[in-house]
Amino acid sequence: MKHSGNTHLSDEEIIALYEQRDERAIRETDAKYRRRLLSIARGIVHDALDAEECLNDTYVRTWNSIPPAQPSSLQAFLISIMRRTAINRYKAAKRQKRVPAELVSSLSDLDTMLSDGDAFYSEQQARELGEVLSDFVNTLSDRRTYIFMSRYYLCRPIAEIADKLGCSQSTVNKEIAAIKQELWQLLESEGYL
Amino acid sequence: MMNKHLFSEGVSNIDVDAVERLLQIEKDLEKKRARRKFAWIKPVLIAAALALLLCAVLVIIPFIPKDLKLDYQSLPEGSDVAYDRGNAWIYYASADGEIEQEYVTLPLCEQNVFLSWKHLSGVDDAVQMMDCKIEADHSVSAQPVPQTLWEHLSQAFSQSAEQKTMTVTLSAQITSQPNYQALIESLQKTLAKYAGISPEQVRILIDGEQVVVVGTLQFSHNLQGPDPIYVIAGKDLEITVTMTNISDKEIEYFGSLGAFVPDAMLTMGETVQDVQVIYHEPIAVTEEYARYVLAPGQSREITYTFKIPEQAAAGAYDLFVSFGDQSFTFENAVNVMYFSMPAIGSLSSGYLDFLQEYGLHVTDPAAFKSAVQQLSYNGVGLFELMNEAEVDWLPCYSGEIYDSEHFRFVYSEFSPDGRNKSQTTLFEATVLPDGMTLPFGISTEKGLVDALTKLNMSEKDAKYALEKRTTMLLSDSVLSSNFTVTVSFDSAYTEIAYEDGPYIVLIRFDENGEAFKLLQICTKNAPVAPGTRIFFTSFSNAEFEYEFSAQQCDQFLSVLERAEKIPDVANLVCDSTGVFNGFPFDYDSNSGTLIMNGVTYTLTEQDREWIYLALKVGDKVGENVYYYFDPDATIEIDSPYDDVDHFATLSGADRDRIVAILNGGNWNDEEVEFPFNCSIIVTGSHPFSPEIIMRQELQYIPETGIFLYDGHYLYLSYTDMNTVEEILAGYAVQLPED
Repeated sequence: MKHSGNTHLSDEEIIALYEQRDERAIRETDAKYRRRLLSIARGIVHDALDAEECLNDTYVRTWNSIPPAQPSSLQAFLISIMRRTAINRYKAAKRQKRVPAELVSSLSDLDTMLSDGDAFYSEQQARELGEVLSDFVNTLSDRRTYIFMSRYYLCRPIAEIADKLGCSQSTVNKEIAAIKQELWQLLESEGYL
Repeated sequence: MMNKHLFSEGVSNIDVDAVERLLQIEKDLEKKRARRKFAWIKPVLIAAALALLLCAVLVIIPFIPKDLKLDYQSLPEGSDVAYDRGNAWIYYASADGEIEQEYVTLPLCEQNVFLSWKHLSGVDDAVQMMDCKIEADHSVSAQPVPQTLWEHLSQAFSQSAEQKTMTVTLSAQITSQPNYQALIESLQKTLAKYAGISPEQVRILIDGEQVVVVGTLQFSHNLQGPDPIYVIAGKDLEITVTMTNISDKEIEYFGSLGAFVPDAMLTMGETVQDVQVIYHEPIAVTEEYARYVLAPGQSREITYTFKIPEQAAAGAYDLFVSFGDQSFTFENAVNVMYFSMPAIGSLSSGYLDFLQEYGLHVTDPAAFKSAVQQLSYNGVGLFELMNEAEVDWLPCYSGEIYDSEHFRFVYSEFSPDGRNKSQTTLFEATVLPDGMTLPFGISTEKGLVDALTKLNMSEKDAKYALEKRTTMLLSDSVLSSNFTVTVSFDSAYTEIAYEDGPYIVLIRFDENGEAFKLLQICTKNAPVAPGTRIFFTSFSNAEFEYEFSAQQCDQFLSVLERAEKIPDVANLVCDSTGVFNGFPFDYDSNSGTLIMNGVTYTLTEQDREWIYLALKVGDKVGENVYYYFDPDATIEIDSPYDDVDHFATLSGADRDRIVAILNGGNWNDEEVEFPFNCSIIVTGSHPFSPEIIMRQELQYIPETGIFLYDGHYLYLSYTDMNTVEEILAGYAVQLPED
């Protein structure tokens, strides 16, 4: 999908196109957010073809979700769908014993509190944990919010986070350790550990 | 500790507000970063500017246009066209075939660009632009354009606004230049640069004949053809050619061809056979579309359907595949043959329908059926059906009564056209008692031959048993001995047992001692190690692998012990195959029939359920999501694009295609939700209890190739998606218009 010109529609205009069921909505979304979404997908699945498929799945799901959804931030809305899509694809790829990705690497930071293997849990449990983690993020400073979300939500490598923050990787690692300590306490108090 | 999957799901459920906050922070970071950049960039900028200035002086030199001082032709008399001097890039071919470029100043027109190209390339003066005319007899004549008639050159440099192409005709002498290909390419580039179009839009003609420069393409290293297959004259044949590791250059080439499906034909010697080819793939009309459906490094299967005429000559055919100017031949890819009565001399009755389906000319159906039934009475199936269009011939063993008193066991081989067979008699015996059958399968072939060899040794025992009117009884010591015959005595039977590799072979003599029958090749005492793996092919034919615990293995053996053993293997259609403890077996979930090493078991209802559950929830290795759709089901479809329920019922043929697709794919075990789409209702029998009718409602999302069932989804291949869309369209299911 290509887009000519450099000017993009505003998020409100693109959402309006979705609401009018105008297929230009997908073209405009692609033109504006393609690179961003692909970079998130590649960070999780580490495969260009898989990332492309995640992108297409994300567009389909967005198309099917708006309306009735009325996102206040189209970009955040797309990222949340893309993350879920990419993780699902990653899980499928993992079952086929394909290459590991940054998702594995980011979760390995938390090895001391997380266990491997299959487990049974309900969607309700996952939603409740999501609320706990959302509250946790709200208590963090901007800097630590950026580190936590970049590392565990967008699965970015430490090196990239350090580059964005303009500091060394060891600094980021130290901050992750501090965040992990706080997270440990919170999850323990909530009965997750 | 918390499970990683739960944590990952929890992170996925983080509020969108947090994502928005992340984006805002990121934005602020970018701004800060930009400011930081400018802080250090200022002094660097000054240094860079100085360096740039220095470089610019060096770089710009080639861009200073040269005046070639050529003797450009004067304008023709009477012409009022005046050419201003200007600059142009001229690409030219050096003597060693490399393409170089030069920036020149000249009276700016196409003709002078051409002259400059000739000069820089060192092209012979004989090479000229030509004026082509189509004569009344449709032949093409080409004459050099007189240099005094410059206006005519505008015909040579014709540019169609609609197609945006430039056509230039050269005299044939260009082909005698040693670096001819490079010359053509450089002229294309030069004219394209001058006209502001891409090189592909410049067509170079030589005396009216187009020269295509596509570069060197290497298909031969990555094109895999089919294994030799057999087909019956008069029937359709599907052949799949696989292209692997498709390169970017090849995709570009497909785009230039307007298709990525190669031409294909069957040839015999120099003769192109009159077979009709039907493509199953869509045609790519643009490079963009080729790139949409293909990516570098991918593999792609291309399936052709050949209509083999009934009068086609029998024998080996080559498969000829061509891509533009590239072509490949797969020798002896297809063998066309006929069925004839001698070739089916040992067929069991289970294949009668199959033969009739392929149009066998049976003059006396009743006699034919009787003959086949009689043969099957003493023999077993000899052929393994690969699919409806292919028959893979196996060397076969069969028993037959060749007159009213004698029985013989023969080994047969058929010629590729099925018209002749060679036959070796392995042993003969007097006629068998009524009701006797030989329940063994192809997999026991070696054990069978060995058993017959050993028979000579056993005859002494048989005679001894005959005299004594006794029977050898089996004991554990017999079963564990190696090629040792132990004889026990009884009033009814004589039995001999010995081990042959993993098999235990039992031979039984009848009470007269003159006839014998092979009873079974059993696995009763086979050791069962903990963690023995059972490899099982699912109902959908996808290969899944399950690992049984020692307890499950014991359970499996006890299932076999409880099962009723039946001897007749004819007509059994197995939908699942597997290997248990080293022993191959076939299992038909519909009937609960399991065949292992020549013994057929009919499982109890309870045990069938056990196997089903063991495979469904057992310790499997690999994916296990599968669904069963009854091949005889009724399928109804409903359009998703209106509110009215008006189901259309699919024909038998379309039903078969849909069921094959549903049962042939790997269902993903992710739980997914999609909005309601095209509804497809499959009504068929329960796999274990045929009396129970199941109503399975699926959804199909048009133009996505996604089937949904019970929260799971199946991604179709591109070909299958097209098949489904085609079927839906045939039932007036309204699909969205482009």
